[in-house]
Amino acid sequence: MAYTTYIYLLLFLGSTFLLYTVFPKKYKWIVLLSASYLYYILASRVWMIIFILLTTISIYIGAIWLDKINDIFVSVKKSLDRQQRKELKEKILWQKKCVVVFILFINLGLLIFLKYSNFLISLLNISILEQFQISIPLIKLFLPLGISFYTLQAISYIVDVYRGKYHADECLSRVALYLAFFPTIVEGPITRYNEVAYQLYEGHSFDYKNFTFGLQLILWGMFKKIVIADRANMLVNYVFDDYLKFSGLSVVIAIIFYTIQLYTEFSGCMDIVRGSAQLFSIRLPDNFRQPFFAKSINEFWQRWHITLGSWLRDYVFYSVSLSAPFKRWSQFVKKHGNEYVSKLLPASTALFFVWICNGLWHGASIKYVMYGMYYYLLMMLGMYLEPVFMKIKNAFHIQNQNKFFQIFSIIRTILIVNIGMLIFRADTLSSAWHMLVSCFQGTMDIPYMGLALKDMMIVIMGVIIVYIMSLLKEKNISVREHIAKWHIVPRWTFYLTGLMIVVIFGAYGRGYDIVSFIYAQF
Amino acid sequence: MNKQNMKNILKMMIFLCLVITLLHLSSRIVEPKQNTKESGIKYENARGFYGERQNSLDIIAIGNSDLYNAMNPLQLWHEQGIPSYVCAEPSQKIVEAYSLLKQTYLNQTPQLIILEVDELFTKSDVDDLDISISETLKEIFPVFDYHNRWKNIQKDDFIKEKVYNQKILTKGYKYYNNVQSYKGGKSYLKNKKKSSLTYTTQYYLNEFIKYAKNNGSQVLLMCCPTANTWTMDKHHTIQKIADQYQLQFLDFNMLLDDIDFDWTHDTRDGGNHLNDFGAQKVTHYLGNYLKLQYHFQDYRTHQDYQNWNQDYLEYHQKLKYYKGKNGFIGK
Repeated sequence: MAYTTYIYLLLFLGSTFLLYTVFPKKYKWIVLLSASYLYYILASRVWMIIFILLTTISIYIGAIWLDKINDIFVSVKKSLDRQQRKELKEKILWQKKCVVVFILFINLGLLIFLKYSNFLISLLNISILEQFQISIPLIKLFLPLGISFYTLQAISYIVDVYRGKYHADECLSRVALYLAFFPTIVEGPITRYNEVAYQLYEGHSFDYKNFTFGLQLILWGMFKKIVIADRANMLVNYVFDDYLKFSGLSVVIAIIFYTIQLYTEFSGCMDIVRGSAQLFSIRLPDNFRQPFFAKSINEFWQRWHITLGSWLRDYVFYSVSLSAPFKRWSQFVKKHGNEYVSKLLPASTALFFVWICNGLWHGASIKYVMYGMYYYLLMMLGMYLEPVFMKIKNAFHIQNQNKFFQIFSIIRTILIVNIGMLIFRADTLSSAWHMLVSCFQGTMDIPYMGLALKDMMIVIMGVIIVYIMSLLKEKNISVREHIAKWHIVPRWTFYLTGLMIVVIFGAYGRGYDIVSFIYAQF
Repeated sequence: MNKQNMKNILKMMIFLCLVITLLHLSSRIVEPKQNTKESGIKYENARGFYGERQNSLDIIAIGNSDLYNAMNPLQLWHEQGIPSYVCAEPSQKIVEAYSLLKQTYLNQTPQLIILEVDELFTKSDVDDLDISISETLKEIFPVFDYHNRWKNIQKDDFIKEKVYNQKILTKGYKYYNNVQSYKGGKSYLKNKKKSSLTYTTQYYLNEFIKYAKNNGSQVLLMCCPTANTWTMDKHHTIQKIADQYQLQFLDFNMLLDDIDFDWTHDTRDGGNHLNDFGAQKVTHYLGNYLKLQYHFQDYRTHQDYQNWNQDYLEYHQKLKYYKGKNGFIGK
């Protein structure tokens, strides 16, 4: 049940909203939790709900267990002397570690087994077993809906409790709702417990502004998804599925169209998700902040899939860089290595794990690992060669604030991102390489690329509209707030025009394929 | 309820009215003004019945692509003198069949409705419900169906009323003469596939049968030979439904020997659809069956039906020139 289907928008979301509105405030969470589980069952297989229930119960018990261990320490620590307190603290820390590792083992283990076991078997078969002419058969597995998203949320909750960021929640339904909230289950955003769990659980009365703003956000998301992304998809599939036929400008266009497709689709989905939540007066974090205005790759990843980036920072980067063996190793490098390198080496080592995880999170294949490594290497180049770049900039008297330099930086980032998108979309690494090389070969002619001229014009017009909206947002102008202040006639004309644009120019129905959300498969 | 809430509800109602008005107006513009492909109508061969003389068809057959490849109304006419039309669309679902059924009664009063039942086996209720909402919206606001016509919109679309009177020579049948064998014989009947109907399908099937009966038509459930999708379990499911509604069920997959069907010769795509050789065998048997079971009148010498004899001749004349053209519908 994709978020752009009639059944979701008109039937599921509509009826959930009505029930939520009429239910007493104290019990509104029941509507959301029931709707979330119903969504899960309808969008997946009935029995697959076991997986999300297992994760819910395990992290609920795990978190309470961690708190109980803490409570024991707090209750007895005053009666102990310093040495005893230190010993107990170490013991408690060890116990907490055991609990958190056990919970992570269950949840991560499940994710790894279901998502990566075939990938690992293939690697084993190719790298070792092939030489002995034996192979392990692949396992037929079903991937539970949203497992990559809710598992990360579950980990963030249990690790935050372990780190003492907040206490374990004794309300099981709140934990359950946090993990299963239906708008976020398929594609995120990957939320944090302290940011959304209480919002979800407490009842919100009908709020006209939130209701209308939510609907506007859904409409905007629909515009991006079905007017732009699904149309761009036709050209992208046409070229990528038969890439040997194309070269030169046509390949460049296909790569750019894929970048457009992925951005408008994923950010469009996030708008529908956030809009759906806003109908219930629930605010979800944004996953995108105008990524194509980024002036560097670092900045790009702070603006693109923000919740995944911040999750990796908090639970991979910090976990690695604050671990005892890593600290010892950092100190060793500082003592024995070159001052400049030893300053960067610890961070670059921790980042390696971040980007490996980023790549693997997107999919169980070498291609995605290389996608992660591509960005990792670029970031490392940026880090280690920064003095060189500084020297060049100084030599040419280039200031960071210089407008031309800023535009150059944005274009450079877009170029790098497009190559990343090529790796992401191409079937294999060799086809990505072939397409990259073919960009510089062939002609400037544009053959038929699976998209009629009128459709292509719609994509271009759509991108211009998205660009203008992004520009306004970049300048901290809230378009929705701004329009809300207009007189009713132009305001409603604007909304109705938007709605009719989606209805008429949407790439749906006969002649268009139903395009599943790309990120739903992760 | 306070004043502000009342005001907001009133605003929402007015906004909704404006949305409905816009959808209605845009529907009038984009809806095809003729029932031809050139005018943008969907699956014109399924909608050629509009061009037939009012109340002239005795049989309307509704189904998916299996049907338009298996039942040839002109052969049925030539052999039995029964005027019929095949309203079949690719990948049709029962909710779409129901919508098409309602359209056929606008200018026809068929004695018999044939429903091709392979389309009843769908994936899930969620998908079926989504299609049913979509189909309902399309019926009320055709803009949801024909929105893509913005590319070809002309001045006439704003001023002309729709006039659906174009005929299709083959009466909905699609001619294919290529052969791509299926070599599995009857083994496909033993395949294991989902053989239950979703609740949504059951609901629309019930509505379909009720609507046809209320309009004075009998209903015949039929399944054309199809090796890629059909199974014995599906046959049993449909037989139960036929018994429940006291309908006849004609499953050609059970009659392969009776009609001398040859999977190595009578299919055009490896067992999924029939070619003209297969269609001839199915239609011949069907004609005899219909005559025997329903006692249809033979109109071959009837004055009002002489155009059918001409259509039959024209079809065979045109076919000589179009032998190699697959998907031929007489245009």
